[in-house]
Amino acid sequence: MTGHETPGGTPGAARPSRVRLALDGHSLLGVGLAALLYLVCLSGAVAVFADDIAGWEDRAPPVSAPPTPAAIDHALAAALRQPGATPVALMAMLPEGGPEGEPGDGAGTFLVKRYDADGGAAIWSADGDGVLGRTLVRPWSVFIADLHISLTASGLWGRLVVGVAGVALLALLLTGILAHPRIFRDAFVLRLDGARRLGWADIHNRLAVWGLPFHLALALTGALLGLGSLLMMVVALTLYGGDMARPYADLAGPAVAADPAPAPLPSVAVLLAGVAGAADAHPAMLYIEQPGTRGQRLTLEMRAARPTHLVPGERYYFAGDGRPLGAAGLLTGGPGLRVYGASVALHCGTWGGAWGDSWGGLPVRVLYGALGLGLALLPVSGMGIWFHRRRDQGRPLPRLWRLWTGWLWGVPLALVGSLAAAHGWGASPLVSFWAVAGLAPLIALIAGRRGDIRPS
Amino acid sequence: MLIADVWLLVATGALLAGVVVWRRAWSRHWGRGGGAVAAFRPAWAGALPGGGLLLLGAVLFHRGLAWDQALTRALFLAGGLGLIVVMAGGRYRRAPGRRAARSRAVAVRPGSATRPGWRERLAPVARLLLAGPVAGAAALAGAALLAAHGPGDAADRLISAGLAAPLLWAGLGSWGVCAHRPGRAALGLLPLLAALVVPLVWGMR
Repeated sequence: MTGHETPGGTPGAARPSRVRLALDGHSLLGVGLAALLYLVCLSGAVAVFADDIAGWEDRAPPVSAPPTPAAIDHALAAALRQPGATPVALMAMLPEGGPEGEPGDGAGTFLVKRYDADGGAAIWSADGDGVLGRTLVRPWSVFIADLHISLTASGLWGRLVVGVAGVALLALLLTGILAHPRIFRDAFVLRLDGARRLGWADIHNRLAVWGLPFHLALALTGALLGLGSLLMMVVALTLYGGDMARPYADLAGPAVAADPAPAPLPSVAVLLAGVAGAADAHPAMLYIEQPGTRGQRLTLEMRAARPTHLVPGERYYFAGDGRPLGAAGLLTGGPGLRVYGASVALHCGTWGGAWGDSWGGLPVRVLYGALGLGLALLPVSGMGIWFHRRRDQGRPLPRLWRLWTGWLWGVPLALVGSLAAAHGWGASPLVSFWAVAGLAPLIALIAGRRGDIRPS
Repeated sequence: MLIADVWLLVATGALLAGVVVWRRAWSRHWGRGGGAVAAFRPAWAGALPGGGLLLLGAVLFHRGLAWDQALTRALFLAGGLGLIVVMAGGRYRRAPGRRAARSRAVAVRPGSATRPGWRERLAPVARLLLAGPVAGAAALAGAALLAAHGPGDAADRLISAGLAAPLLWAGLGSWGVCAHRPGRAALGLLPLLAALVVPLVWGMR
């Protein structure tokens, strides 16, 4: 949606220029999906700080030293004994790191999470001896990750919509480049002292050009993660006769036959002995599927002390009796698995521990937050250009402008409001977010007479 | 602070220097406003030193990091630093005279306020249909074929397909949404869709 006028051909001309066609296609796609892209990108820019927000919501007490294998065994066994529905998985997040996408406090805390069959989950802090503390209450950090990953929709649909947003973003970047032949010449221009439309155009194009590597990487990996389930369905239907487990097995490592007969959790010391070859690495996460049964499978993530790749560490699989099943291959496997591991880390911003041991991954998250905010501003500035162009052409859309303005301010207001409601009144962040975000455009439409487009 | 940290700081400095050198070369070549051309040498000649410094930054990152993280860091950081340099050199004060001049520059296109006919109204819908469902189905079918018959082991093929699907969809979708005549674009996309889906359905039997 560049604001520079291009030779577009007059009405009735034989064929508009390639730039004009690209600009029209860019505008059509951008206007159609601006609200979705804004929500996905803004929630992503906030969600990259989910770990930090979780620590702020309910800080777990730090442990003075990494827990011993016996302490980890003790904590996991205690979590398994907790009352509630049948647990389908247990996870121990050990000091100095947590798995991608899981709330944790980063260095210094020992957390145990239990996922139940009814869809519920509970998270506890543990001390250095593996004694579970109180249940941690972190509703908003879970909500913001859920909003970004699936728009809080259950099932496949939410992820698919977010995946489609990633594809649309890729297409917008492509058409935007085609529509902007002066990409280098204008690379340093920022003129906010003149017409609003040209100001919006400069903001839009500078953010798009300088953030291009980040935008491409995040859009592609986001689309990969969002559309992955759909592609798996297509592959399962066409290649494996509808058996959904087959394509996942190629990525998720060797399976263990389901057996609900009770069995003890294997000792972490035995697991660590099985990965003795992983020198200069420490255990960061242990995930147990179907815990406490003979069909349990364990995944141990060994994180490098100073990760030099995007993937912070390798994952190892074990059978329920502690027998090693092999490495996941995120660092040492074939190109496909390595690219997959790097894609997840690249999208979630979980790389960068090697920035410096003293700095951790915070600089990377700050960079992601800033560039992600710039990405969220692309649909905002693009819509600004479009609305002002319509007005300059004598075709204003005041009602749509008010609706858009309501959404534009309503989403951040809803994010802040849902955080306040969750911790002030214990309200569900999901309900309060959608209530505010849904009502804001309507309020702007009804009451926002002063919100009409200002002159260029 | 570790020695490796010092190298990372030096690399970041090289990236910043590269962006600043680019900015200076751009100023000399295009003038401050980006409009007046003072081309005493080609643009690429001015871009080379800055580009070299950016490359140096990436190489310095590689001293302590593997290439995947070094390149990611260099590209993302250069973008962030570029935006800071752009903001530092931006014009923010809204002067009344300049504003009037800018407003005059945004001319109303003659005849653009006329009501479009039904063809013009339907064309965007047709383009979105091409870019959405049609391009999406073709992309997924192409990706599934790659997953079935591509090179490498099963995981390699799946990940290749997972990356190819959005790229194909975005490429075909861009073509569809930018089509001057959506009907003609459909004549290109629909046979492609059929050519990809038929072997898949055949393989399911």
